[in-house]
Amino acid sequence: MAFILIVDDSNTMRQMVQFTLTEAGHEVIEARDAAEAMQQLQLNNFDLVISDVNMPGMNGIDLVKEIRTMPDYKFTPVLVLTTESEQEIKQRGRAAGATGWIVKPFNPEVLLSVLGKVLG
Amino acid sequence: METDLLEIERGSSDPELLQSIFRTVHSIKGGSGSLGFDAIADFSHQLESLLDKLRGGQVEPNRELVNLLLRSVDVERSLLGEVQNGIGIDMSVVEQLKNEISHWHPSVIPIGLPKTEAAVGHAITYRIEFKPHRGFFLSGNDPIRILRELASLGEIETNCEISQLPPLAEIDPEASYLSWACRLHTVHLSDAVREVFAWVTDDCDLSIQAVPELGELPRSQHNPIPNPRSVDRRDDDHGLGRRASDRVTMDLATSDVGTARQQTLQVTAEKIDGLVNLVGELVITQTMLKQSIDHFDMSRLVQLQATIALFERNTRELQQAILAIRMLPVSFVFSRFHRLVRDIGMALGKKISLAISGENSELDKSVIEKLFDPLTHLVRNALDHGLETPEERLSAGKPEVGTLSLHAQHRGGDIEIVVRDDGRGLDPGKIATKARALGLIASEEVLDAQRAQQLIFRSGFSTADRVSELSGRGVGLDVVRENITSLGGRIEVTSMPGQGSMFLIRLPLTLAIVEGMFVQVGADTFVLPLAFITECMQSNEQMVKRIAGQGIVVEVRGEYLPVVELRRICNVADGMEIGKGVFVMMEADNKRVALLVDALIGQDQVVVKSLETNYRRVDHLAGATILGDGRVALILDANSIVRGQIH
Repeated sequence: MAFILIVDDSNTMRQMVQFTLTEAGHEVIEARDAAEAMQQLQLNNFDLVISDVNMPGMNGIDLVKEIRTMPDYKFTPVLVLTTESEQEIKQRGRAAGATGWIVKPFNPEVLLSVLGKVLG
Repeated sequence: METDLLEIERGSSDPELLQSIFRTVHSIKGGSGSLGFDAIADFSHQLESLLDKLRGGQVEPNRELVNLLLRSVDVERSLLGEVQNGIGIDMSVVEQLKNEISHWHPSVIPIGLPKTEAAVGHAITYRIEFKPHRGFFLSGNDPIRILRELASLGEIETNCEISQLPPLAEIDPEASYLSWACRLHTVHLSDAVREVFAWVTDDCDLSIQAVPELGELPRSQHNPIPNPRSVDRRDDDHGLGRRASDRVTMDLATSDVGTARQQTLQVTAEKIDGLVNLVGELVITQTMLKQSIDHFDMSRLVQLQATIALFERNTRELQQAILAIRMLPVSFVFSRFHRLVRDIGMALGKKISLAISGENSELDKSVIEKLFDPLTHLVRNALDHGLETPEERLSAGKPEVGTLSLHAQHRGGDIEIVVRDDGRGLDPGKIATKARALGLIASEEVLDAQRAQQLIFRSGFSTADRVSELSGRGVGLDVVRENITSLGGRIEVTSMPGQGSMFLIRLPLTLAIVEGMFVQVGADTFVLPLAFITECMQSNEQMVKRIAGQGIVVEVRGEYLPVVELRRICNVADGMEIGKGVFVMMEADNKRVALLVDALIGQDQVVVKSLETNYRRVDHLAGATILGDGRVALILDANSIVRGQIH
């Protein structure tokens, strides 16, 4: 099963993602902001990164750009969390090197089905 | 595939037949797709969809459907022919048939399709062209995952395009070089299909196009919204542009292949292995010979002779094995008649069953190829003139369904091919009338069956009342006979009025080697094909009769045969006179002559070298061969010698 990093400043969101993914058998590590995420990324070798966009400190888009500069994460799937209306965010995320996006709000099934697109 | 279709038409409900047809079309499609023959792949796809319905029991096989499928086989064949030989074909025929195939669908009620909220109610086929850009992987996406997701929407066919792939040394492992052309058969709307590519629209060239499978569906209704990014010209035209591009690819393919194309022959591995073994033995024998000669003294003579005998045997076996390579089963020709008989039978409204036997008998490739035309003629004749309509048959107390049988069997060094029908047979009365009209027989002459049967091979002879489309092409049985004799064979007919006719063809197995009798005339040696020789006898003055104005005949057991002096035919000055020498009785076309030669030398197999290729055609000569001592001997053409004497 996959080793996944979830980056979000919202407790609820992190827990929801963490719960769903752990239930599905994945191993999940949480980060509250980009800085924590960068630490974790250097410590571990993740199969997938899911990141919110609006976060205190470095935003999700810039985090994606950072991730893509790391040799180990050149091809690792990175998904950003957006809302349906945020067309611009999707495009910016894509331009920064994100693999795709997950549209909020989502339920566990949607999350897992999107994960199916990037894992395995 | 053709054979299977005919089997189905005959009412066979074996599901394996359908599977086999389906598999055939499927592999044609796959093969042509991966080789870039889009026109074939495209057509096969249409065909496959229809077959799939048939397989799923959503379409009932009936005569029209089998007809349609058979015509499709023809189109496939000509499409392949175009690729193979560069013969241009009429694409409008292909398009029309494609249309017909897709129109077969409306009667189809799709059953058992998964229902989802996105479903449009019936399945649509999308043509998807997906070309990831070089840096596709850099966003963490992977084409394979996208294709996999696409596949989850329905049935998918993918063709991977690898032409952009550089040589291994130049490959950038981080770059994406492949692209895909897919056909997705799905109940989902185009939005759902497009959604699959949502993350990568910037990183690839993408075109998603609904293929209008249901004939009555207007394009606007189910077409996806045109993607502004898709600049592929295939999006805009289903018609000319698309075909034109197909033509270009195919033309290129032909010119590439065409120049280097050579005739090929499929040979079983078993035969090749046999050859390798024989060559091995030959090499060993050669070594043995060399050793015997290197240290030769008279005490080793016996050993040397034994080795030479072994060498001889090896050579002969090798010769036979090599000839066997050129041997093909007669089924090569016979199998084509299933379709012919069916089509003609239908056109004539006759019920005919074709029985084939002995089709595994093998025959030289060159003979097989030349056999198709004469056999076709005989089969057509039998169908057109021989076999009756069901009504006629019933009223004559015969089974409604007429039987046409093709049979082959080996007999000695020859092969016999029999074309037999149980139709009305030859009508001696009709033949006599016709013969009188042509001035072939005197008006008061009464024909016996034997004579009548010979007459039908005369030029210009046809008893058909009308010129029919099938066999009345101004080509008569005389041409058939000519074809057969040019192959060194003979044709005979026997017929019983009301019970049918039988044509018997006897052919040598190969044209490359003949069993020959060496004869001597003066200082020259000639070869007579053994197949035409019935007997030989020492000549003496008593048996020779000279008939004023009609030449010389020889009496053999009460029968008088015309004498042909080989020395005269071949302009040999010092040949023996009649009264000395040997008579060789030759038979061809049911006619016999006595050929006078000086002496018989012996018999052996000779390799025929064509005179026409190396020199020019010479009357009475069938070719030449090289003798053991290196001299050239001419091979006599028995047919022409006998004919020359009779006429």
